[in-house]
Amino acid sequence: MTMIHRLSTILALGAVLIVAPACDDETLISPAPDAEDALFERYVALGNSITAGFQSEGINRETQQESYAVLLAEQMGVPFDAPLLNMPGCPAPLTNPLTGERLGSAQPDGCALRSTPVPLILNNVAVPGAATLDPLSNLEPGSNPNPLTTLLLGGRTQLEAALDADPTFVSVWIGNNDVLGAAISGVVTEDNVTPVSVFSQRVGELLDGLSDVQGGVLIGVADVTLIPHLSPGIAYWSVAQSGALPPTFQVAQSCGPTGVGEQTLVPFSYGFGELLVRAAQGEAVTLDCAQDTRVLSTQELVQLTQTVSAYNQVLAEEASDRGWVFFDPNPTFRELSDEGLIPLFPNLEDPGQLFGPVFSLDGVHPSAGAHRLVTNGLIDVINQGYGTSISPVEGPSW
Amino acid sequence: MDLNPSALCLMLLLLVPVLPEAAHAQGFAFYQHGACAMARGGATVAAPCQDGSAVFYNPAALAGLDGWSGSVGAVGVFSRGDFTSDRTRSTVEMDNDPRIAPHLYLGYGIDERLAVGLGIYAPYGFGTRWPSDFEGAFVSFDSSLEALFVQPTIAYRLTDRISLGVGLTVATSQVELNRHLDLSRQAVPGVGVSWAQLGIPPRTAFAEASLASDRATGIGGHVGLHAQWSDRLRFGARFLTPVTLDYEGTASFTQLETGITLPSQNPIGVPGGTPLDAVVSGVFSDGPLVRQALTTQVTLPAQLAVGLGFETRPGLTLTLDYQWVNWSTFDAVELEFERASLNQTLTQDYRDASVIRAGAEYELADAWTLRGGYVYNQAASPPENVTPLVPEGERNHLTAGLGWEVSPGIHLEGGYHYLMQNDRRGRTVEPPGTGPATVDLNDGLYTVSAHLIGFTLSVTR
Repeated sequence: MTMIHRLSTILALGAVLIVAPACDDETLISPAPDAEDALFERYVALGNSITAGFQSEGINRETQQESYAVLLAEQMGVPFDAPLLNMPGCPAPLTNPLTGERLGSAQPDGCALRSTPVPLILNNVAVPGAATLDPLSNLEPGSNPNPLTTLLLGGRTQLEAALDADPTFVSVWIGNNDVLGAAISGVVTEDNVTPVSVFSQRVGELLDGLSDVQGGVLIGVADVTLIPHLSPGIAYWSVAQSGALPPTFQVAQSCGPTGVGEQTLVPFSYGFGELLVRAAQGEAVTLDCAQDTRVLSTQELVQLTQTVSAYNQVLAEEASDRGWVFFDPNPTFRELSDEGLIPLFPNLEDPGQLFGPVFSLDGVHPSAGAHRLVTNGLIDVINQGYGTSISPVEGPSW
Repeated sequence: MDLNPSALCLMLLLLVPVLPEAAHAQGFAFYQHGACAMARGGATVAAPCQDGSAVFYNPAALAGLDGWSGSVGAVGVFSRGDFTSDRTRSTVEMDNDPRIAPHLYLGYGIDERLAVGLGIYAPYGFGTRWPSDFEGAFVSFDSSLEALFVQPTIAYRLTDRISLGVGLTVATSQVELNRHLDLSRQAVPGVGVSWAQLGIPPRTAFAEASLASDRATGIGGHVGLHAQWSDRLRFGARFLTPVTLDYEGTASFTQLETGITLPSQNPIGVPGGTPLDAVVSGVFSDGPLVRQALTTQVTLPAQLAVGLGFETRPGLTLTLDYQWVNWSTFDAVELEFERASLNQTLTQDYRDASVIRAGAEYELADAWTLRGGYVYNQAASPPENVTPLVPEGERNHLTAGLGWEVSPGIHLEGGYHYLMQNDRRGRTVEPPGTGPATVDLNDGLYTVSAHLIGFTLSVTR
């Protein structure tokens, strides 16, 4: 072999060594390589404060991560980005509802704004305060925008933000605020409860907007009469009988066992937020379960319960019609109530557990532990409906 | 129809031991400065084509020119590319129009040893255009860099076998960058927070920025060495110096509709129903986004190429070039605006990279010459900086062409070049804040290929 041939061979071999790795195409990467099922690859949660992770009259990045939606996504094995809010929150959650103290000594109207960097796509598009109209419009009369509407979604509706994420699977838990305002105010009128027909029309419109989604779960409206923010009138009567209330706070016999005390509910925001505050200031006040318009009467409770039931009938039918699944959370909460885990009256001896372990310190929003129960309930119906095998989360330890 | 890259790669690997060769540049370099050279994969530093393109491929090879020679031609670039999102698997295709790269060479042999020449060619440049609603439009959706080199050259034969050539390169260049501006990354005037902190979603296009330079000029040099090792083996080398271009230009900004209407109780403090566009419009009239002057600097990198040419038997010449490009000089593009708050550093962090070119030329009967070649180039951009601006990567290339002696002294060359870039992961977003980009930002796959067709007409007298 001549020197030239040897040289040519060496150069050729050198070229091979350099070229050899040159043919490796890189590939797409699955955004959810650990997804339990391709159906869940892009899971998006729509809803209200519960889904957003609102607890104890506040919301921050820690409470947001305790939402059932986050837990469900974790069990699905898919990424899930929420519009996280800086600590202590926006507003900061209560640490003592009796004193009004909040995390970080924050003011009730304080807002620590969004955390940065912000995710490109949001998977949790729920907005606290949203009723069935709000996922469709932030501007129409009757919608309920608040500072979080802009802070979380930047002016988009929930539906718009959800579609931006091109979801393959959604959960929708909306409708609680269509009755909750009436329950908390203690006054049920035609104006503060969304008629079932309107509810049905709005839910249908929302779900039509999600028609390209491969699957989903609709979550039933919670029975607002179960929340510990509402205490039976008889509970106030019993506490008054024990002398635990200031002498200026009288509870009428109408709240007692011979009255309507067992068939009426007193909102905490009224019984404590108004009456007790005035009594503590020396003013003589009386809670009258038969006459006080701020007490939920038997008739009002029936109306609320029937409305929630009708809402849930609508949701169950919509889920069935669309091949989705439906989860009713109320049996779970009723069971917890029966077990005594939802106190009938605020636990004044332990303000940190004022409303028990199932609800946070506002008595309205589920605690982190309750979110775990909801997650497992959802996992059950999803696995049954879609033939998947999402494993449950560890239950609460109460 | 595009060739199957995997099958082609396998074929190339089998061919390389037979044809010791290599060729073609990377980054935004362009190496097709003559149809003959292009057909040989650009592997010409040791055995330049006889069409005057030696002004670029090896200035020393002009020495020995007999009389006048001149050539003119152009290469058409028909490229395609797309980006496929990891998340949605949807694909967006580039909107690139065909581009033409001209070349012109003149040479004159003063005597047997001394020759002069002039070349006009475009060794660097890119043009990438994406649909303006492409998710990567915030990096770039319509950008280009054009650089034309004019190179007067003198070549001298030092001995019967060794020649040296020197050229002065005068580069003129323009650069343009069009991109959308993301409102979420802007500061809210007078508040000290970003719009993102108030909830404005990422990728909210509220302005189109058009940054266009005037023509800038830079000076460099080009040195070549050519040696006739034996009657059959030739060696060549060339070094093209870097050229630094200081651009001055204009930045103009056009407001885009965000489509966002603010709900009531918004944290911005404006009434519900207020269009967000009305809130931000002031920045276009008396804020930072007024039309203003802009400066930037780009260094076109140095190139070093060495090669061998071997006449295996009469009429068949094989060539092999190795090229090194000092791409690490393209580390960042500093955009300096008249309003300093807009100043931005576009980090590129390119790395030095190699190219191997292999070529073959076979003289057929009846004045026809057949050529072929293969090129492999490494990627110049690091994996964290593959963007819509220049979504480049490792490439394999196949070339072929024909030369025809139309009549004594008149040649027409035709060449074809197929560029296959390995599919490469990249990003469509800028890194958050002022931090560096990371591969974690890569959100999809860029695919690029191109067909190049060139013709050169040369005349010697």
